[in-house]
Amino acid sequence: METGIRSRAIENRILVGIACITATIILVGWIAINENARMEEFTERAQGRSVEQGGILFEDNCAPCHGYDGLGSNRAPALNNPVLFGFDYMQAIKDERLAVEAQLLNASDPETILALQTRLAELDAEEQALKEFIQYDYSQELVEMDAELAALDAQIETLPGIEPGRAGSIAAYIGRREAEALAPLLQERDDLTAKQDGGTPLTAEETERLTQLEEEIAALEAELKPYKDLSGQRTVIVERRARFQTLVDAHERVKAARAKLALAEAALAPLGETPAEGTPDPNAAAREVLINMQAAARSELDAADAERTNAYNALVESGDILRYDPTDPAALNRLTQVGWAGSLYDFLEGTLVGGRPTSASYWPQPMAAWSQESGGPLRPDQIRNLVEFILAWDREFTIDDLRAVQQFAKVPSAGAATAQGPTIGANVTLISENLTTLRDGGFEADPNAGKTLFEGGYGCSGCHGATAGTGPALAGMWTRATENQDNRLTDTGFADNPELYLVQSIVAPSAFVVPGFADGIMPGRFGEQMTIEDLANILAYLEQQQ
Amino acid sequence: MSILPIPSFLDDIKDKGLRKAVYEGVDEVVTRVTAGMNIQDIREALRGDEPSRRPNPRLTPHADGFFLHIRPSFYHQAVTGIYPTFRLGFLSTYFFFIEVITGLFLMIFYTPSPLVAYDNMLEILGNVPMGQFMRDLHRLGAEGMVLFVALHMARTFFTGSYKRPRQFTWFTGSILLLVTLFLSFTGYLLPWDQLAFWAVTIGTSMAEAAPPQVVGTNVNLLLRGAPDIGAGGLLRFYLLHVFALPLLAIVFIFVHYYKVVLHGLSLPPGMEEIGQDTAKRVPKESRVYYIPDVLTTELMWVSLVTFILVVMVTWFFHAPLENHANPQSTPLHTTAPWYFLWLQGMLKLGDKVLMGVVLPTIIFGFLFVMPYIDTTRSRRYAHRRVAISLGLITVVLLVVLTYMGTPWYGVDSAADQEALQELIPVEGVGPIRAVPYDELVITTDSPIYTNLANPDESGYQITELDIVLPTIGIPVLDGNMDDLERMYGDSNPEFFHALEKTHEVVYKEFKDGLKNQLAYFVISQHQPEVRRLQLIITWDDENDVRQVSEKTIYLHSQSEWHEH
Repeated sequence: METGIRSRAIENRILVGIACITATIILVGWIAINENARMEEFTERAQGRSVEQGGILFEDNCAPCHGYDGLGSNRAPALNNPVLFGFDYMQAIKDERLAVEAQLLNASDPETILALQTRLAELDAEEQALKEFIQYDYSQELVEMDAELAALDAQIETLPGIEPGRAGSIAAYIGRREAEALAPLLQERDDLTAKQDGGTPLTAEETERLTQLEEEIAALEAELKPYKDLSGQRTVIVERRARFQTLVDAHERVKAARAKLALAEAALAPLGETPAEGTPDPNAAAREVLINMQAAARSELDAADAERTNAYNALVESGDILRYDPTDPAALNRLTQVGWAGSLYDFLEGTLVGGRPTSASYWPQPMAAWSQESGGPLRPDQIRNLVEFILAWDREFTIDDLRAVQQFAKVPSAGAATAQGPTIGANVTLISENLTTLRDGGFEADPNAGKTLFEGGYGCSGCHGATAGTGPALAGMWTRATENQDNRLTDTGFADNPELYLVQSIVAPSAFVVPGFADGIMPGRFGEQMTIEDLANILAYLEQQQ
Repeated sequence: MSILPIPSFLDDIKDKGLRKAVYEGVDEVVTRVTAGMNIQDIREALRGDEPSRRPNPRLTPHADGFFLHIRPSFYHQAVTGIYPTFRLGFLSTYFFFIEVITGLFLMIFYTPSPLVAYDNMLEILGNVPMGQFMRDLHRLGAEGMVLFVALHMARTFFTGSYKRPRQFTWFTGSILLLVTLFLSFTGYLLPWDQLAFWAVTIGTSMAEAAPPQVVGTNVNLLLRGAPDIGAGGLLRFYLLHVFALPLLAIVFIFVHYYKVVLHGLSLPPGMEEIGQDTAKRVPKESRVYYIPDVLTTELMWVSLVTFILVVMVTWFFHAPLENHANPQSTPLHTTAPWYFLWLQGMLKLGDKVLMGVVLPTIIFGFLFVMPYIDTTRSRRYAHRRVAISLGLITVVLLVVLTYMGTPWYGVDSAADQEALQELIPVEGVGPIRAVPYDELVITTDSPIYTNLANPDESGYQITELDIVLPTIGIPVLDGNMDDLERMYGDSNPEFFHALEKTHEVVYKEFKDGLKNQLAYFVISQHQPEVRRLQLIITWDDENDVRQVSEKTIYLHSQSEWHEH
């Protein structure tokens, strides 16, 4: 090869090489300086996607008890819940009070001090008002119920026989129709049947009339059915509204009485202290009037307050609202309530991993341990996704959010139910012998007691509801066992005594897991909690689930 | 007399002056580092001049240096161009080194345990500077290595370079092909995502099929460490990936290259007499010396390919990472890695044992011994019509089988499942996740939760759904696409695009026998930053029974699926 061409070829290679290396270095440098932003973005995305995964997991595993919207159900508390997040509705007021108090420490000018002290008093009043608003002010609910009622009334007014604007007369209408149209027919029918029952054979005409009567009665009842349905709905709303109205009225009265009291006190203040005995009091007349007024306002306030408390308790008892006391600091924050020193993330994770600790003292239905490390079905990453998802409910909560909650978490109590007497253990053979002994001894198992234990004491119904949920359905449980579905009897060796299969499922749930359900969710310690009587009662209840 | 009590550099300065003394010092260092070439020699070499002194200093690095002692000092001019080698062997080696370097980096941040492996991936991507770059490079390098090794083998076959005396070189090359495939395959599992888990489950299930059963079961146990892939399997794959297989690769790369140098690079087939091998007898005028010509060429290729790789991982290629491995849920359309798709295609054709074990063993066995079977002497293309035709047929077969290995061939799922999978794939993005969060139109406050297919749970009879759904969702029907375009085309273009795509897919997948299909989007604001999207399809099946199928996803404002 000629030297000139060769040297040019080498030069070109070097040129390309250097160009590529330079470009690579620039590119890598450019990537490197963007790394922080990229990593941050990735972490954010990963977090978002973790929440997305958690949503599906929640829907599949948690929603049946905690509610699809996270607002709770009768089985488990709400997680989409200001209390869980410790959301403090008074935060703005508290912040301002701290600031004012700090200013007060540094203030020396008497006028400023007075202004600041006035502001503090105002803040106290504001806080009190807000607390009462949260607890007692259901006027918005009244508006909502009115709207509901108006919609229902509009529907009622389309029914024939109801005059426009007189939906409230529906009950009277039903009564009238029953008295005027239905009652005579019923009377006639009863007469005829009484005659028949008395041994007098009916004539052909009478028999025909009886058939005709039955048809007419059925037709009339069918005609009245929509009236009754709507009337029933209306009654429910009206009664509910009345209960709320009582509270709202009482609350208004409390506010009015308090205003009156404040007025009297404000008028009394300029009069000064009551002078000592013997000294002439130039304001004696005015003072007496005002003092009487003050006393009247105070007793009015006490009465209204008592009335309000009663109305509130009535609403709580009727299940219309949940008890939530904003004056109790623990009620504001679940972590304070249970004395948890870690973060909310840790609290949720801990609960998911290990189930609800000391479950019996919180809630009749225990929450299973969900993580694989505690024998449950979920992997650590899935637990994390779930926690991230629940945490994503955090926000600036409104009072509507608070009222939407269907079940607050229970406050831990010391009085956990414990078994009376020796427990049954996990040895099915032994339990079987004990059961026989118990029954031979004349023990009558009580299905109703079993039902109570199933729903309350041991919380079985949390997972074994009417339909299949986390665990197999209660309905048909006995039938499925006795009919050896999925070979459960043959596999466990209880073919000649299906009851023992159920016993084994209670004390050693992992021995046979019904296909389609996960192993490890059902607690395995029932054998250490139940007495033989409890077991017999539960079995008697299960025997009814054909 | 020295300046210091001992002879020193200062004496040189005193004798020769600073400039000369420094130059001579540097020159000596350069000579030692290059094992024989001084600055002047290097300068001449790079200029393309003849060496100015004898003996030729450009040969001493080969004779005395460590790194070049295995490289030939000159090549036949005919093999230094692109043809006939296409530099495939060199680039295969290059990829191996890229893998070693990036692999060592990744190893720092990785623990082979199912509990943390996936977290390590998120950590590497989200918390390790240049972590994504290194992982992408490692993955791209792995694909490149498989590709280039395979192409290298094909080239060797088509130029007949495996023939006498290079049969054993081919044999070691076949070993390296297998090692490369297994290196890539074992690395596939390590991220512990769904992709990894199921691709490797499919791959190793072939080992389980090996007859007789006792062998299959035990091979499977050895490989996976348990009946299924778990902690044991992951650790085994990891050790194979970072220790056993690289060791094998290094040993055989050196054996392979030793044989290459021993026999010389084979000349293009037409240049030699039939049966001759003149690779080692290079006439003086045909010699191209390693220094400087081949060396500069190689360095140029290295920097060029590195640049291409970096460009690729910057803009065009990111190593996939799916959801955490879940042994309980098999994603629809699981496939083996692309280089094993042909095997998956074969498996669809027949018996698992025959197609998955016996035939592959025969194929690879034949690969190893091919040079000893094909003992014809001529390397010329014209004389190897049968061999080249067979080779081309094999390539075509591989392509066809690879296609058959993909889900597009011979996998029939229910139409609704196919449609939902295409629109909202279990893994990856799909057209609906790709809609930006803000464009998702909230359709209702009270969506349908629970299992729609089960009236007991949902509280809806299927027939009621068609009445309820229009009130809470956006219907995607044959007749209303224009309306939807008017409503969303301008304000929510990406969302409308998803609706269009849904329309297209639902009416395509459902064309056979199923009719009256209706698709609805039900979207609700579930959390402050989370929207819940439910795609519901109802249709009449072959027996005119109304059916329903749905898929729910949650979308977070931060997750930005449209970006990746």
